[in-house]
Amino acid sequence: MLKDKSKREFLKISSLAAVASLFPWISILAQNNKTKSPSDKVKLAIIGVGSRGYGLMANIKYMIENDSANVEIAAVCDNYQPHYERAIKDCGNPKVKAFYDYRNLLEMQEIDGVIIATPLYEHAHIAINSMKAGKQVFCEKSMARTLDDVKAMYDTHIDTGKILQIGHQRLFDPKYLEAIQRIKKGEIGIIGQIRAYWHRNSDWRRKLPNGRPDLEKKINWRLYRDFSAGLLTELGSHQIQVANWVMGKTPKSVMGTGSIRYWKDGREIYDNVSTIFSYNDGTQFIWDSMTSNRKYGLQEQIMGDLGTMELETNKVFMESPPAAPGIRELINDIEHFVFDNIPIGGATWVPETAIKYKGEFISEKWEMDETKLQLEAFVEYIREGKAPEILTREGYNASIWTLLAEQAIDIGKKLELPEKYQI
Amino acid sequence: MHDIVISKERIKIELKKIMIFFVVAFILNIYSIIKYNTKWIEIFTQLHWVMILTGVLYVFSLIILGIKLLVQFFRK
Ligand SMILES: NC(=O)c1ccc[n+]([C@@H]2O[C@H](COP(=O)([O-])OP(=O)(O)OC[C@H]3O[C@@H](n4cnc5c(N)ncnc54)[C@H](O)[C@@H]3O)[C@@H](O)[C@H]2O)c1
Repeated sequence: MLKDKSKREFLKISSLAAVASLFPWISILAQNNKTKSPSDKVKLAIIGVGSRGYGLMANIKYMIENDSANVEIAAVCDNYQPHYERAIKDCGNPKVKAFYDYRNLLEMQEIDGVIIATPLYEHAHIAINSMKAGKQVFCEKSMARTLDDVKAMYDTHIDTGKILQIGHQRLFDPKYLEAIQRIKKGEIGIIGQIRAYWHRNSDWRRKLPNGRPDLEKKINWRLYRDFSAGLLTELGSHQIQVANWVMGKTPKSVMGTGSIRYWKDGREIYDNVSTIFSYNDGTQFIWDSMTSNRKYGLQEQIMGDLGTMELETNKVFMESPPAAPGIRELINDIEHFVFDNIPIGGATWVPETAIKYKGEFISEKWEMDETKLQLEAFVEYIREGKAPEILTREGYNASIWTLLAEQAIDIGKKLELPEKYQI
Repeated sequence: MHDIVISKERIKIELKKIMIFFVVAFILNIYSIIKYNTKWIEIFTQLHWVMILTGVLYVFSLIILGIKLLVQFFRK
């Protein structure tokens, strides 16, 4: 039996699953087929238990403790001793098998699925070898460091028929699901522009262990171009996925610019990036990211002729907001009449500043964690032996366009997707 | 110090004033529903604003009364 909280979540999910044609990957979560039989236990391995991998492991432990999935962490793997030891200690399974080399882990016949949370440049070979070894794969975003590696991962998924789910958790976020459903119904009208940004004010560095400068690239891999495309792959890929999801298609072209403006500390990746993705219907997706100011934080703004949705903060703003009650309008008018200054000189026009209107919430507040939901779904897909293909395609397209944006910035040209990467 | 005694008469006058201000605020609500073409249900749903307005009008009346008394005091 499901526990109370899971039951509530299940009912809410069911309401979303009612629109299964829009979100075929969600319906599995609404099926009450969560069996407890030991023979049906899904055995997972986590490869790369650093910051994200450790978080995913905690999510799986939570699922086990709350009976929301019949699953076991059967093996962990990390080639960095402190993380390797921490995973053995904290995984919640005293019989867990631990490895430094993932190839040894893949020899374990009983493993059904692997979760890959290694650095970006270590995704492709691990995912490909895992699928070839007959394992179902959940791999963190972005897919890989190069376009060819992304394509090779996708091709292996097709050839082996193994699941390749990419960790874009917004696809499982109830507030995104509701927003997308309402956008598809036309609630905010014709979309002309999508704007997304991810701004932080930090050096994005992780502290090295005392006396170990040799670990710089191992620990701060995000800052070096051989290992990562920086803000694009680490942050932008999520938002590019959202833009493609909203549009229901991939862009036609991308152009952009990038610089190391602030953190001149030996890093190789840009700390300041701006890009424009154009879709064939004329919609523009403008994405930027910086690491020396955080006033505007993180947001995806979907702008239609009838309204705007701000997905990260769960808000919708209609172009013609619902009228305020009459008496409030009267009081406002009286206030303006009494207190507004009579302009003497100055500008003869009113600047077109943003409309001051606080908007409405898109969906009620959900208690659910989208990262947990995507892992629960992965477990159920393993049980079924397949996952909806659209999930892999969402990950693929986000990764490909992220890397293409990097190329466009590097060569200073507007780029279209080469035919060999089209799927 | 003397006790301040509020006569029955005074209380009646103040209650009457509050009633009148309530009616004025109520009429203002109806006026704004017509002027701004909003929903008639606001006669009930915006009663809290009518109360606030009643309070504001009453406070105004007290201020005016206070000013009047001050002027009379200095003229003496
Ligand atoms: N979906 C999200 O919101 C989200 C959030 C954070 C990170 N991520 C992704 O998760 C991945 C990992 O990021 P992180 O922040 O945890 O990095 P991290 O550096 O903290 O962790 C990576 C771990 O992988 C280990 N590792 C490296 N190569 C390995 C190999 N060949 N075999 C086994 N272990 C290996 C490292 O020792 C380290 O412990 C990245 O792809 C990142 O983009 C996703």
